[in-house]
Amino acid sequence: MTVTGERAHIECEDLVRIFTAKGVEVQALQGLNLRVDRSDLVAIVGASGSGKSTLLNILSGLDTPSAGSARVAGHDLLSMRRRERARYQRHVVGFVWQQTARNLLPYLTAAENVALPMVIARRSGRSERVDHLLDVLGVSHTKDRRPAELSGGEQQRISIAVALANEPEVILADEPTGELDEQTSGNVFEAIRHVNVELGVTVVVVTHDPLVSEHVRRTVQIRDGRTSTEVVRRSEVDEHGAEQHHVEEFAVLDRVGRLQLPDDFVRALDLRERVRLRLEQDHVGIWPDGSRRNGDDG
Amino acid sequence: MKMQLTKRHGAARILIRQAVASRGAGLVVILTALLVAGMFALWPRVEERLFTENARDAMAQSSAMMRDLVMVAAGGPPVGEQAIEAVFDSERPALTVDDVWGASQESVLEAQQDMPGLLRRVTGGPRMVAALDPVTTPSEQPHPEFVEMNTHLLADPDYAESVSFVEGTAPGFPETTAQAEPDEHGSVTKLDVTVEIALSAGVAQRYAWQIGEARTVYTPQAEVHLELTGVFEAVDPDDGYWLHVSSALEPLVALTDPGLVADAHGFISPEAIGTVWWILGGGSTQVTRVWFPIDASTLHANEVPALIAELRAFNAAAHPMLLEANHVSVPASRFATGSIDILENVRAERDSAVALTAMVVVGPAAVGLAVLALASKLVVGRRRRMIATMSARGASAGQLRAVLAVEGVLLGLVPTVAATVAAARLVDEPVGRGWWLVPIAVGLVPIAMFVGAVRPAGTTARRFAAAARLRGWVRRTTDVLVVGCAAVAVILLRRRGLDSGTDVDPLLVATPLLVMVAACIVVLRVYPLALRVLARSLEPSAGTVTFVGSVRSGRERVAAVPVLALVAGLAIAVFTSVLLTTIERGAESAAWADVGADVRASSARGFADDAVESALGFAGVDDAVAVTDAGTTDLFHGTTTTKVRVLAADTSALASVQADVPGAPPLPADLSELRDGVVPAVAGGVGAVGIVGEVVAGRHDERVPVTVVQRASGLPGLSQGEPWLLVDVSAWENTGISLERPRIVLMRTSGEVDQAALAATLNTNGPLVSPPEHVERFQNSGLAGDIRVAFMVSVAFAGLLAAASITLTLILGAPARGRLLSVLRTLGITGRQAQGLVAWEMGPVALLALLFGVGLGAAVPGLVLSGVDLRPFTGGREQPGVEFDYGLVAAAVGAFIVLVAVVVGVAATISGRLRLGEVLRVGEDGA
Ligand SMILES: Nc1ncnc2c1ncn2[C@@H]1O[C@H](COP(=O)(O)OP(=O)(O)OP(=O)(O)O)[C@@H](O)[C@H]1O
Ligand SMILES: [Mg+2]
Repeated sequence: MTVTGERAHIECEDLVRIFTAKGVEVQALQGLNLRVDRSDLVAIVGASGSGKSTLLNILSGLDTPSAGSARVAGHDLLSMRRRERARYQRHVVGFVWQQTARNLLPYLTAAENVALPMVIARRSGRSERVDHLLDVLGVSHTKDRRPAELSGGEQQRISIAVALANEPEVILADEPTGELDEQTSGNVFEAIRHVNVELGVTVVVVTHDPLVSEHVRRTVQIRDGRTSTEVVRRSEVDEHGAEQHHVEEFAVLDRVGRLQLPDDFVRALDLRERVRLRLEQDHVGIWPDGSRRNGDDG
Repeated sequence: MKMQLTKRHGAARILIRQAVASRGAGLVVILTALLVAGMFALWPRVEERLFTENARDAMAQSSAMMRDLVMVAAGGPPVGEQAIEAVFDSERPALTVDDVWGASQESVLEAQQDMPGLLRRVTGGPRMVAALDPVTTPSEQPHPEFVEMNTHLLADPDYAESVSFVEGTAPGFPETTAQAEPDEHGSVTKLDVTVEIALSAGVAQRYAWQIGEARTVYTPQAEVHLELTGVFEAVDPDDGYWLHVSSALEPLVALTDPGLVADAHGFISPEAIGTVWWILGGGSTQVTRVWFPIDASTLHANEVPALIAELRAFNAAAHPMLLEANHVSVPASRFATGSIDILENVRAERDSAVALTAMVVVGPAAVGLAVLALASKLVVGRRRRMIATMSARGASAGQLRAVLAVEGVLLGLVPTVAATVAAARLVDEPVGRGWWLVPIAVGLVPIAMFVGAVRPAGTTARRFAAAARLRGWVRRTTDVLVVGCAAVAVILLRRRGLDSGTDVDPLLVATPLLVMVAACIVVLRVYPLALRVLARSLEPSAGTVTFVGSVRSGRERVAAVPVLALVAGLAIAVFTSVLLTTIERGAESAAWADVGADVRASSARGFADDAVESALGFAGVDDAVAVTDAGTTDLFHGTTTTKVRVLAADTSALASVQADVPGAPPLPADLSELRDGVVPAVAGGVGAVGIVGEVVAGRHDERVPVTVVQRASGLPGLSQGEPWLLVDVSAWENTGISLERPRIVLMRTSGEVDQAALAATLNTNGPLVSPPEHVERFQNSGLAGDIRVAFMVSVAFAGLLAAASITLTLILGAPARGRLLSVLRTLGITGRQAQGLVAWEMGPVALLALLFGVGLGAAVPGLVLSGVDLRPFTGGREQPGVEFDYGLVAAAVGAFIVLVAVVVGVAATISGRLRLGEVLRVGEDGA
């Protein structure tokens, strides 16, 4: 959370998404806050069912939130109408799913798959752009092959090319490496990072893969439909010229001041039900409830 | 594989790729569309062709006498002074045919010119023949055969067209060979005239009349020598002309008390008509027959009502013919034709056939559309991912719909247009514009299905749920509406009862469809409930297959189309077999009512006295009775007069002959005795038991007292719908009034009877008739036979559709089944058990559909058949009651089930071998 004041590229505030299926309500997102700056690369992690995909679906315009606010590149995702939504999906966002089958149509060649979003957007100069994108992602050789004739990694790289076809400002990727082995997954992630760095595209990537999250400057953790903590990695070159890796963990405070403590903190001090709080000059201290647990000090 | 025709990364290229990728599914849609549209296009055209053929056949088979437009006027062409003077002055320039006939012929042609177009098209060139009173022409020696030979002299201006002389020459103008002096009043009293005539070879031979031989006729003013100058044969003996001049080719022979009397026609020279009329004693009647031959060989079924109207209008108007009787102009008079009755009959037959086939076809038609929708689902399944992917990439609903609409046009509209055009080529019949549009419109089904698969982009879950709720509400409402409408239609139909208008009654056609759809809804609603109850009652120990199968069938949505197809198909199979039985038995009882006995012989000239005896002497004839039809006469009773047909027979013999004839009334034993001088009679349609009245009968219109001793509804083979009286011959003859010769002999037979020999023995005219042949002849003529074929075709078609719908449903259900099976396989299910699960998928619902379909098919005939006039198909006078032949019903149902099972089995085998599910790639998205 480095930027304040100026508008972030992706901005979610108190985002709520409630699914009602057969009378049962599932709160997939319950007041999620997220800000991502332009050209940033953010990884989203979280347990299964914590609402990661729900968030990405909302950001990609496939789903609409139940409440809260969500803005991407100036588009208000809640009030967006059909026409704007189509324009948004054509030109503002591109996305990559975990299942390659959802990204590519099986009966089209790699090149045709990449051309498809441009056909939809009625963009000219398709052939050149297809060649360029396949080249950038290093899969030019697969051009005339169909998805079934490609490896998983190639498929996902082509999927990234598809997502980039109409020069979007934002790439959303939901576990793009989920089905791949470590090596390939590294390659695909490299491609994503390459796109981020070279083309300056904002990237939000959902992942379970610690390898990935560790290579990302900013990792946001979602718990029970809320952003709970953030890890920011910085590498600085110190006065000796050696590279210093700094890993800082932040908790996210919402607008009304609620805070979610990281799991391991809670476990370490066996925090339960009630905690003692004290406002110090430049920080807030938290202790276990002493009246219940005698003998322990803060 | 690269197609350079299209732009490398263009939309068209992508569409083609997509179409090629799902060609299997596309092909199924194309074939189904071809089949269904073909059926929609062929049906009305084939029907129209059959109706047209039926109309033409009916007209062609009727006798020309009945068919043609005929006017009979008492008079002949104008007899001018010239005609009479010609008798006295052989020096005068000869009269020409045109002089005599020209004006009359002109007036006939004018009448034809004024005909409306259709009538003018079917009428041929007019003919007119003038006939003089018959003259008795005895031969010199007594004739071996005839006690009397009468010759009717005919004059036909165009007779040269119809005859060809085989001997001698055409007759010329009469010649006066001797002439008495005029008396004091200036009028000639006695002439000696030779009138040349031509006879047919047949008549000349039977009359033993040689060329050059003259037979003399004495008239008040002349001694007329009829000299045979020419013997001819008919150019075409089958020409209707020879029916209009009936006894010109062969003499007509009648048996009278003194012996055989012959009547024949001979031609005189046409221009001599006025002259000969005068010679034969002018003032005698002269009759001219004018007719337009009607040739219906170009008539189309759809022109029948118009032709009837035109004929009616033409006949209603009086047409001046410029004829003269006794030098006085004959007033304009009217034409008449039996064609109106024939065509009315054709129309009634057509109306009934249209109503019946509509009832039978409306089911398969609806099923055809449903199957096409089902086939379209195959393609929709393959487009789901494309739709999802493209709309996620920002394709608007409009774009997607356009893409799918193009595909719908290619897979749906193009085949239906092709099928319609091909059908119209194959059976080129004029049909209404609707029958072009309807089959083509079948192609809208795939388009609608494809386009309907696109939901507006970004449909939220909330809106989606609302839409689902709305759909549920719509479905429940339509369910209630359809069932309600069906109930109302049934009630209306029952209330209204028989009402046979001329047009097809929409209520009549819609009711079976409504009831059928309502039955399907009930099946679809009841079925899951029933299975849920079954599943609940089953112990888990009942076996995996039973348990999983019943639970699954109860929970998953039932495939509506196979249910509809099965219910419709079975209902139609049962309905048509009931209908056929009804028609067949109706025709049978109509035949018995017509024929009246095992064998019936008739003779127009009357049977000889020993006819019954010689019949009884014939092998196989057990009983025989001769019946005299004394014709229709007046029955006076009190102050009322009724027309009755009087039938006379040996009543005890009649009772014995008709002992086993359906519908024959039991006859009292004592009809042969007079009761106080009064003839006892059995009466139908008139009088009451005990009444005494008098009927007019005999040569001098004597009054015969009769009393009704019993009433009956009809006498098979004898009564014909109008009131009748049956009396015993001996009782009747005891009153002293003689009867004509019997013209009917009814026989009871056992075993084989040589009918041809029997006919020869009895000297009948025409072959003998017996009910089975009567039925057969009737069933093979007209629409009755076509109807049977049409029914079989529609049952077969319904079977195919049912099989197709089941196969498609199984294919569409393959992915879900596959998932289930793969789960169960890990639990150790065997292949046999897996098959059992497939059986559970369709089995119970098929069973329920069977029950409902058969029930429906059995219930509908009673409901709707009273509204369709079946008499055109039975030939009876009464609407037949609904008849069931349980064997036939069972056979039809069995055949239907076997057909469906075989087709589904073959399809399953083929699909197993080809891995059809994969070829069609159903649900490859797992959607
Ligand atoms: N369409 C839906 N209808 C009902 N509930 C849903 C729907 N989609 C998601 N959910 C529920 O919302 C919650 C969040 O789901 P989501 O898919 O966002 O989780 P996730 O973080 O992506 O999990 P995973 O890592 O397993 O993919 C889950 O409890 C899920 O059951
Ligand atoms: Mg997920």
